[in-house]
Amino acid sequence: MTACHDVEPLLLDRAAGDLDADGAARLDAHLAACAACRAEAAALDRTLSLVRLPPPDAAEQAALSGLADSVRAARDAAARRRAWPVRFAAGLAVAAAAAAFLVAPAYTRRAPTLTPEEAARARAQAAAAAPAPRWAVPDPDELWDTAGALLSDEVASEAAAPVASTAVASATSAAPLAREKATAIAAADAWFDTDTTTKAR
Amino acid sequence: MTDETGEGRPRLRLVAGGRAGPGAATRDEAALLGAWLVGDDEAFGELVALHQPLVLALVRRYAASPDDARDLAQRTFLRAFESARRAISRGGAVGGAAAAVPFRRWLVRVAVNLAKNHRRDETRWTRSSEGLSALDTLRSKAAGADQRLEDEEASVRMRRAALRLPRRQREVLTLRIDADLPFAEIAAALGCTENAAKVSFHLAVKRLRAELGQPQGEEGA
Repeated sequence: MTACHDVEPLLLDRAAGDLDADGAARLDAHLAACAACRAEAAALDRTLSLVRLPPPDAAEQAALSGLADSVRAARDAAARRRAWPVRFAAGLAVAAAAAAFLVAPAYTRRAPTLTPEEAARARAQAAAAAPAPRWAVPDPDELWDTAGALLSDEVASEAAAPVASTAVASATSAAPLAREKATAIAAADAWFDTDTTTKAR
Repeated sequence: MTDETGEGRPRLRLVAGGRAGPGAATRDEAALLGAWLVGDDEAFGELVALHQPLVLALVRRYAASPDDARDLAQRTFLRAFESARRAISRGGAVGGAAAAVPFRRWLVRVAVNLAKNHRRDETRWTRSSEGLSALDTLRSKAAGADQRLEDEEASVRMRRAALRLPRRQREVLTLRIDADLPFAEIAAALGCTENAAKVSFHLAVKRLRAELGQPQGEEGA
């Protein structure tokens, strides 16, 4: 700024449109006498007039027509989004009820009347899903041998003890089996495995 | 300050620009808000119409196109209405709360915040006017055309400088010269003192004045 130092605030207030009557009178008196401050006042006016925007043109006015309606539409859309969780839950309940209503009779009717190929497919699925049997049905001869082996107490106690512990170890490593089930199986394994140990000897 | 931006604006501009008596304006606004709260959709439309010129004035400097300005104005209204809805539902009592909601101040604040985050590198006011210049040169060499071109270029340069001002200075400057808000209202919307707002305006003008450079001859007259 090239204006006189004490006049600068007045010039800026004038540029801001915020000059009171007293200040305006003082400034006018100074401007009448000081060319530098006159030039500075003009430069400030020009600065602000260049920064200022022209009044809204026809395109801007037209773009705003119907703004209330579009704000209303956007507001309603937002309200629908806010209501979404409640509506979704209600819709889900209705859909579940409808599905149960539609599907239930199909199940009750279908079960006894499987076609042969459906039955075969079901069996195949069941076979695929079911784990391989852990032990085979014991052979009556082996059962007899085992029973004979068990007759002599010292042989049975010698053989059963180490085998049972290994059976438990293998059973616990089978992840999906529950612990109590595993011990039951281990006991059964021990019972059958005694035969193999006696045979091996 | 001459009010050269006032031409061609809708009739409600005086209220929106803050020149009407504050009592009258707030009573209208409170009544409309109260009606809107009890489900009067007409009141909603009236509130938008009442403040539409103010909101446009606040956002158009940052808009890349008239449609962009419309989009910014719409978002401003939506956020302000949302704030009002929340404040009132928190406040409980409907009648008293509507009067207490500073809807217009929120509009100003929301517009300022939207503008802060809006892309400002390429607005329609800071675009280089090369296309226009070429057209003008072709059209005529009439007296005054060169001066007009010069002014146009200077305007683009100065508006760019205005957008590059520090945030508070830019906000105060634009609220003052775009929306003609009184400094008291600017201070209320920005959460500062009236004096701080004036100081920011002075600093902004001094910076822009420096950007303009030394006036040549009688250019500024």
